[in-house]
Amino acid sequence: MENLKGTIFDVRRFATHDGGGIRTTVFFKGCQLLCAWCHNPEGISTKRRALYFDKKCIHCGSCVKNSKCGGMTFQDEKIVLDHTKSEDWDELIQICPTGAIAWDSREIDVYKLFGEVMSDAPFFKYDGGVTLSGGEPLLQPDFAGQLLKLLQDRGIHTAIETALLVPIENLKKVLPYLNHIFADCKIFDESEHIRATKVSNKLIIQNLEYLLTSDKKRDVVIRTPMIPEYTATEKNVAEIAKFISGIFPEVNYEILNYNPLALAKYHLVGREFCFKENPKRFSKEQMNHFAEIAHSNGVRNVFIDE
Amino acid sequence: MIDFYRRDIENKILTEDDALEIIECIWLKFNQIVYMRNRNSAKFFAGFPIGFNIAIGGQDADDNDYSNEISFLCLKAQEHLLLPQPNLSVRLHEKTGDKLLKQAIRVVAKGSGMPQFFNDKAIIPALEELDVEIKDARDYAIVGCVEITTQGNNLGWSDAAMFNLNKALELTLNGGKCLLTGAQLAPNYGDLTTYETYENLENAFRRHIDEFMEKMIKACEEIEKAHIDLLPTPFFSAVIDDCMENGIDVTAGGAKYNLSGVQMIQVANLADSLAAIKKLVYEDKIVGREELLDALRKNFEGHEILRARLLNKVPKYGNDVEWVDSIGVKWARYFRERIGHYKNYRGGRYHTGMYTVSAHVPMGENVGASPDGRLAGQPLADGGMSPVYGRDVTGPTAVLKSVSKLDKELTTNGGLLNMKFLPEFFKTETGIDKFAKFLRTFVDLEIPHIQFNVVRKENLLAAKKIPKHIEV
Repeated sequence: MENLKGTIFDVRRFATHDGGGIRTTVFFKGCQLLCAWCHNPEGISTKRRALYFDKKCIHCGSCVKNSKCGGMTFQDEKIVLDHTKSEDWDELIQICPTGAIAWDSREIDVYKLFGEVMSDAPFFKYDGGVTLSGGEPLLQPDFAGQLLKLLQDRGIHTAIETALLVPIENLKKVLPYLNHIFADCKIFDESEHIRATKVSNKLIIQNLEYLLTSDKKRDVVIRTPMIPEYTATEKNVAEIAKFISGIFPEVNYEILNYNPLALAKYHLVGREFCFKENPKRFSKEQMNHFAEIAHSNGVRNVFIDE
Repeated sequence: MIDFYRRDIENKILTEDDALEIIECIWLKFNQIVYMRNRNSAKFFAGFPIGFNIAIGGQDADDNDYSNEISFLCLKAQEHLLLPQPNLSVRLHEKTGDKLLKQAIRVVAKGSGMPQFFNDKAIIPALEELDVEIKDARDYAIVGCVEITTQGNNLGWSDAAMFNLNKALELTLNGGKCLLTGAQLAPNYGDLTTYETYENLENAFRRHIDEFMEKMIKACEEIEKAHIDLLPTPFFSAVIDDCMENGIDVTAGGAKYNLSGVQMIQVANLADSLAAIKKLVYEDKIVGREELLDALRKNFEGHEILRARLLNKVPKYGNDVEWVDSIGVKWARYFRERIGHYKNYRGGRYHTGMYTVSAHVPMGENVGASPDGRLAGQPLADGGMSPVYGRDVTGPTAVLKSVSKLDKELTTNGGLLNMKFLPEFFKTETGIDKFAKFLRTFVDLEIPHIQFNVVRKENLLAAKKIPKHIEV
């Protein structure tokens, strides 16, 4: 087998929200949606860049002293990283004594990554396994497919979290090696989708149709994250429910409550978060109400995340 | 107990609630006696009740689970009272039922730190390795906190000594001189500046361990002699198997098993210190030998950047990094192998444990600044097998993988692994279920012991301010 390389931004062990049992989740770098609320904004760009974590910094100034092109500077007694400058970032990362400067991602070959995720194999034995997430894992279909095949050959359960904005060939390449698929359907209305994510959802809708008519349709869970003002409207939930249950009435559909933790990541990557004031999670009653709407629009299997 | 319980229930002498009340009454009783200790002893064990240990579950001769109605009542009593005593222990193995496991987890989630979990799959074979007969090994109990014993036939002397491996390393690095007082505590076999290679350093470290072990054994023997001469215990001897038959007091070696347990303190700091030296000094040569020794002598004053590098740029024990964890394993194995050559004064074997309970604080007070970035006098890692707090950054599964590299034979006298989880984790049935799977793997990995603090940092800080008003 060819030793493919891929770009990932994290490998998280003891992942307990990405499928059954105890899992290891691999986060793939790069995504073509620009969701206003994105929860892993460091995963959007395909390019690797250096990040600066001020909480780890002891302000020793080693980086500023060794910065040759103005990538690390003191500004108003604060250290500032400018990733557009063509620094020797590897050198600065090496010089920093605390690890406050680090690459946001790494290129890794598939066998090395396989070895890394197999570290927790003893835990996978009890209904656990490996989940690919991101970013968009299907943007690196050969790499993802090979990793999944290696895992399945060893009897490890595999899952993916995908937004499906990829050519259908990418999906077809990877699908045979998946035991479980979490596919997002964020917004059904195309113009609303463009407003929220900057891209059309045509491809996503086509891929959902393919997925829900494939022989894996029972292993699929369609998910909608409940984002106030964007996805969490009665109209949107009803439209999604009608669409997916129209294709496959026994479809599994999960609505995910809003997760307010993303905000903390935004200053790292220098992006604007969509909410000035971080909204609260929905109440149990509100979540049940959305579930009821999905149900009354044809979905028999509706789940709410705990 | 279960026969009495069942008979009384059947004859309607007792209800389940009555039984629970009786258990809770004795649970309260267990908390009433707290020893007065002298100042030094108090540093190690102040405020602890005597230490009654009750184990539930465990496997019988056919590998089936022993648990019964009383096991669940014990858990219920703990759930109600949430007091520090008794030390409630659940013995896990491959056939432990989901019901007991999950009920135990629900009690852990309440935050009293109990029950703690012991692993039959690790402990029983390790005891056999120690020449304990299989029937006694299967019937093992726990004494005090985490010390393993056979029942009714053993003078285990589980707290014979605590050997501070990190102090031995300090003396190795500083020519036998104490970093805190400057006193020459051991011969000068060289110091960090004179060891040309990492192997040279290891050789000197080995010599220091050997010599202090010799001294420790002598001290243990003196104590044993004093017990025989001054403190024979005829009553105790009367209830320990073989003493009466042999006509020998338990202190003089009358029991069937005559063990002495020595704790190796603390493998996490030791692995982190040696890993830092190995990588930064000898392999990458980023840190000079003179520079590091000077930093240790000055408690890192003026060497803050070096200290940050030691703390952050070398992987640490507890993150499933093979080469780092194996350093800890190597020296623990060496210590156990070496002490295995000695016989104790009763003619029994020395064996090893890895626990400090709270002694990691006073034991840290006696150690100067260390190459893992720890400041002089600061506590060592807690527990005994646990990583240094805050340094396990790869999550709980990585901690278990790291700890599992320590052979089960290293902790026949007891091992202690502390972990911390947030209460939120246990709020859902999914969380409880995943935690049960985590503990199933703990059994598979043959780790002898694990216990959990389920608390929020904010609550602890608030409790420190206004102890009365906060429910931790």
